[in-house]
Amino acid sequence: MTEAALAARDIEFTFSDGRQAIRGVSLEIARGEPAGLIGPNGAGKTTLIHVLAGLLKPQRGTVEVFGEPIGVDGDAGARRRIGLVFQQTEDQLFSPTVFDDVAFGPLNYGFPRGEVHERVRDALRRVGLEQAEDRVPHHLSSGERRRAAIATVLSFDPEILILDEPTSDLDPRGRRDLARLLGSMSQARFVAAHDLELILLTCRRVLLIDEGKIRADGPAAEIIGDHRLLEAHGLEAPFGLRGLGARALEDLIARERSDG
Amino acid sequence: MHPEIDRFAHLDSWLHRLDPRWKLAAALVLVIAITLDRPSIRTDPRASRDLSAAAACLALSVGLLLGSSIPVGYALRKLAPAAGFLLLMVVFFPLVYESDTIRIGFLRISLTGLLVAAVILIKALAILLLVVVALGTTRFDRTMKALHRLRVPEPLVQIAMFAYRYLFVVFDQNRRMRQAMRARGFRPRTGLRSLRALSRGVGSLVVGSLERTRRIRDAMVARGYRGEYPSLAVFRTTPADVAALAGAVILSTVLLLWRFL
Ligand SMILES: Nc1ncnc2c1ncn2[C@@H]1O[C@H](COP(=O)(O)OP(=O)(O)OP(=O)(O)O)[C@@H](O)[C@H]1O
Ligand SMILES: [Mg+2]
Repeated sequence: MTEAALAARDIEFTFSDGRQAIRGVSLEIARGEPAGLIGPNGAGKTTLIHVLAGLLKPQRGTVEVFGEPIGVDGDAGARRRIGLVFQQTEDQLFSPTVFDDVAFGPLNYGFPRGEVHERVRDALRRVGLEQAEDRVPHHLSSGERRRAAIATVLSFDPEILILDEPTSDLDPRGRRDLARLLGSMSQARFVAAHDLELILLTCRRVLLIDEGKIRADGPAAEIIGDHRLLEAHGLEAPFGLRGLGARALEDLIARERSDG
Repeated sequence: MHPEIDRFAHLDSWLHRLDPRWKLAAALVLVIAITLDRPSIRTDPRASRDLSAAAACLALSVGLLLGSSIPVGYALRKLAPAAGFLLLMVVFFPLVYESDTIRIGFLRISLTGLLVAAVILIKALAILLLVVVALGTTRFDRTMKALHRLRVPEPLVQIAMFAYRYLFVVFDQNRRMRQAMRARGFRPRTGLRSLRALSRGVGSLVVGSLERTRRIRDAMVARGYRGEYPSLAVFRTTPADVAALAGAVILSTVLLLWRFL
């Protein structure tokens, strides 16, 4: 048996002001699996992601990365296998220049210095920002900042990529590029988004979270095609997908993939 | 690269080409020498020497500025606030010193005080200009990395780096907050009500900064940060660098020995 890339068991998380954001979540993401996380505002997506990445310590439950427990602030061992792109990019890019920021991860994780330049260039190229090396992150547009934030984790080649709301400030082209990038990867991916089209295009499986609990977990087309389920949890399929059931969505995805 | 702070850091002059580590060291040597060279005003025959030494320092800085191809107007604009402040500080010297006074109308002006004021003002300007040239000819982030290599303590360097990255973010945020308040009908007036609204605004800026600090820390930890800021910067020493530092040492020695000549 091979262990899951990411496994969470019975996670409970309560913020210091007493608000319980996660109420008993268990989930597994297999190696190489692309999974989506959907849910209304305040459902607990960001909180869950931060627990999974070891930034928040749950009051109960455990998180394992390839069978290794992830410690908060502890060993970089388990953490270096996870690349997290935050919902708010303004503070994900904290270095004086874009180059320094993209180099930050690989340097911390001890990649050979000679390799780091190449990795930074490559990561920036993959997100279409090869011209931005010397710029101050603060002066990037929010879409450019999003791309740069994605490059900061691509550069150290994590085995699990976690993206929180990655398309919220991308233009349609940028969104399509991101979908293609995600589709071309072989790592495990966990994508939280309100953008159901992106989820459909890039994830085979979807988890629906609401009020801190996983309410559904299954094939993407089935869940996003289940309008009653979506509605019960304050979600809506986008205009173009409305009224399409699971089968119709499957066909649509297949067509879209073969075009893209 | 910051469009304002690093505005002329991309030019190509011999000062730009120096390795920032050596450049900073040379600037530091000069600044220390200029500071150590104490005016000996009270023993009068040497007064003119003090003035010429100060003038020589300023001439050196101006020469370096011209050699750096940083526009003079830009440097003057950077200096203006500090110069104004200095002027306010020294303007009273001629009035409070007691020796060598002359009367101009009802004012008693001390020539010694005037001299001290002039020497201090000129030297301070020389130092500031030197700093403007040293910092203005290297990209700020590279200066920081050079300081790091020169073993300036890590926390200080990190604070300066974050200041460089976030100073303008905080300015912008402050401006946006004021815009948001105005957009909802707030008119800054003197009065208790506006004062209260403003203080609440400042409060939320501070809380916002704390939240931001936590988010930045999270972002750093998520990418393996363990207290040290890694850098790829490569520095290469050339003969010109050594010559520049040697030049600074020689000039400093001359300055400090001048009084014994
Ligand atoms: N630092 C905090 N302190 C207290 N409560 C918090 C904190 N951060 C989030 N919460 C609360 O926890 C709940 C879950 O928030 P979370 O950010 O995880 O939601 P989300 O699903 O990511 O929402 P969105 O779609 O808006 O990004 C919300 O009710 C939120 O108000
Ligand atoms: Mg969120």
